[in-house]
Amino acid sequence: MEILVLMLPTAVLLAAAFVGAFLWASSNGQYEDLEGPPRRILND
Amino acid sequence: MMTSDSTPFHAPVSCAHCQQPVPSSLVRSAPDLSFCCSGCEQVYALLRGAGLPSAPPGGESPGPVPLISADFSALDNPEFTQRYTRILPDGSREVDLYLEGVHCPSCIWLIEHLPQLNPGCMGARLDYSRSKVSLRQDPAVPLSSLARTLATLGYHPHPWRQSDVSMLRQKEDRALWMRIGVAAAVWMNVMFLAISLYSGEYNGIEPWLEQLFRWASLLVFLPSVLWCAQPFFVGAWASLRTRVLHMDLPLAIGIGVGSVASAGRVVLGQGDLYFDSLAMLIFLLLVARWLQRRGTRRAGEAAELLQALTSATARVLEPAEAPDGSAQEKLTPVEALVPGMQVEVRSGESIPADGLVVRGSSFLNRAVLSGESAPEAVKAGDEVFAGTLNLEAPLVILLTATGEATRIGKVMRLMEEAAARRAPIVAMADRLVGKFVATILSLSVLTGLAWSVVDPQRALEHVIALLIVTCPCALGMATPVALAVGIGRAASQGILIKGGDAVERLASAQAIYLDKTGTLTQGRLSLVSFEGSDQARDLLVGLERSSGHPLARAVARAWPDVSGAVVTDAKEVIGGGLEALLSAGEEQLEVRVGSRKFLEARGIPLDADWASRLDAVLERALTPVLVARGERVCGLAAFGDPLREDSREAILRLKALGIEPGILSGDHPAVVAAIGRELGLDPAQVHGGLSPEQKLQAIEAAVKAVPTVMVGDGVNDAAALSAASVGISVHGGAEASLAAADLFLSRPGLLPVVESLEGARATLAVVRRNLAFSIGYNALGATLAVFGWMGPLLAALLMPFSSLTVVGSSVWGGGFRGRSATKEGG
Repeated sequence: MEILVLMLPTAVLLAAAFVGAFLWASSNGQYEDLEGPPRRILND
Repeated sequence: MMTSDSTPFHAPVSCAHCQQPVPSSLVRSAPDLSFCCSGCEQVYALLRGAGLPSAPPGGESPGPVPLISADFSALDNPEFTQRYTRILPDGSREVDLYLEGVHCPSCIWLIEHLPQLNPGCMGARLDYSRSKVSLRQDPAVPLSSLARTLATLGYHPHPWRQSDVSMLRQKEDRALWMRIGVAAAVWMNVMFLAISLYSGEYNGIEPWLEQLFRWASLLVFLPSVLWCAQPFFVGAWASLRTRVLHMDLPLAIGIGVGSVASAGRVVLGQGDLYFDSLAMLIFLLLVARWLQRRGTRRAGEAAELLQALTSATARVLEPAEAPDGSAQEKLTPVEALVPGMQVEVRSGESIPADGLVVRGSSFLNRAVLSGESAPEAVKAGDEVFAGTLNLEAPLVILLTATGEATRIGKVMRLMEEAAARRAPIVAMADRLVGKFVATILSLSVLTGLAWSVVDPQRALEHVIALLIVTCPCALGMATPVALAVGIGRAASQGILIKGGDAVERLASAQAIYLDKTGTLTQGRLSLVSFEGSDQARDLLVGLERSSGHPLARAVARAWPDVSGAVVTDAKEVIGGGLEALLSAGEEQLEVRVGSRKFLEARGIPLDADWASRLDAVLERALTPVLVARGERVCGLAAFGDPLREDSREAILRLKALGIEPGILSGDHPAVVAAIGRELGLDPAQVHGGLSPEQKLQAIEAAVKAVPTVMVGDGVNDAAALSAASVGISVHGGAEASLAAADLFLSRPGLLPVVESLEGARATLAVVRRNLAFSIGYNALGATLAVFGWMGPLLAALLMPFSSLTVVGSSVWGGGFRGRSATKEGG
């Protein structure tokens, strides 16, 4: 179970990276319009 | 459209662009290429010409395309370019425009194909939720050309001018969104760690591992309590400072005490941890707050509304003359106008400020102020007002009032003030908070005292558990979730509600005033009755076939299967009637259709019998049209705006709800009174011929007595809509009236109004039920904590159960559960 000493911090860092990506995407305005992009995909 | 031979009748034809029915007088010989209006025809031609399909994929028909005749040359002005556009590295310009008329997702397809429709556009991206399009423009092509193309498609573009208030709000919304994301991540990870610790309690866990997990929990939890929970602490501080008890106070106490106690225990190496419950709490309450904000209306800023209604720039005439003797024009931002300046307003532009016409004569569309779109003539010396549209010829105007001093500016100001004066509705949950906080605190003190006598070591623990478990999680969600579900469902039925407070006000409404008779009537001229022989009817149909007048269309709608008499040489006399020649055997008879004056001027008198029938029609506030064959009158048709079929049912349902309906209208008093009688309304509540100011007074008087709803559709109703307890803006209303109203109904008729009221009451019942549930859970939790039976696991289970109950109750109960919106054909 000692491996957890490595796994736990790694997992936390990984989670932090994803949260960081979320924060970046938010401040980049990617969450402003949630109705347009889904529809836009269907257009050609 | 003037055909003098009889054309065969068609089965109902749909417009090739928008699929709405095409009036029979506009049907072409190739029915597949018929259009309901020239707007649709233009768009169809434009799309086809560019090689695009004539309708967006996905099959949603956007509806008939409005004709927009406005001038966009102001967009090419270098000052505008400097202020509102940006240069991109590749040399093209980027500009944001606000588009009116973006009401369905298929607009995205249409607008983003702009590059194929106008080579000056290199890219277009629509922010659907804001109706904002970002255009990349080839600088060689004037911006007005792109604007013109957008207008042809049916979207009126305006410069994108965002006020400071809405920018601030946008920043706050974004911050909340980011907090929610982080809180969710923290919560889920803390939960995993907590599950490990709980299993360890039951199955055994190595001490060093336990410590690892405990410290990990603390570290992961920190961002949530230090950053995500900030709004609650700020709110609680504000609550203490202003001595108004707010839900944030017990929240902050619970979170604060729980976090500090748990953190202390991590450092000490032993004791119960509550990080999972707290992280869940923070996340759920942030979501509740987000739901609340999403539905809340913005305070209608008078300045923003003015911007929406007037143009961005005006052509100011300089006093000095150019060398060739003509006046010099300077394009000035409308904010810089002052009284005393002279401006030129060309056709298609809207008047930037109040003033007197100095030179020129034209027709204006005063719909913005009066609700009437029939053109009004103006000439030198006449007064004109900001926001009205100049239709025909250039006018030179001497400004007398600008900005918020204009008549429309004053209306907007009235609106703002009326909204501010509105009695704030104290949300049900907030009323309970005071008692709640007092109960909890006294309970905690009592518990602490009791336990310090019985078992002093565990006294603190029990008090902490009490404070955490009585944290108003479900209570904080009860109202927002129920309202969000109700509002979301209402939206799918075409009832757009601006905020939860509107729902609560609607539920307590006791009186309602309707503005236009148009909400009660079909909104168009129809044939109500006809007296005369079949021969007379055939004559009427035959003659009216040659005309495009609304009366003619009404006749065609009334008898779609009658082919009518064959007439030749049909002539239409404006304001009078129609005349033509009928072959009767060997002769040619003169046949006519028209008003009494029209016939009498042609030497056809009215005998006593027909005259009395005519008077009977006028009595009913209908428009009479006579049919004459040769020298004799042979038929009388009565036209009016008939009641909608659902109006009577709607009125009955309103009365069943205990709500007294009335009418406040600018329409002719006789017409209004007749409608009131037909619907069985109390005559004292039916008023016609009112001006916007009079309507406002009537509403203000009514509101003093009982909570009152006002239903209207024009900017001229904006003040009255704001003054009412609830303002409802109806299908077809001006964009600016949306800002004044609390609800917008996209379906015509009175039934949506009734559905709104019934739905609001049902939704409020759900709110009450949710509150009852949450208080029940809190009581249960408190009882357990007081007796020392509460632990972290139990608290961590109780919280999601209570929240799920509230969410479940909102989703599986509640109002606005009727059929989803159907397309209204009539």
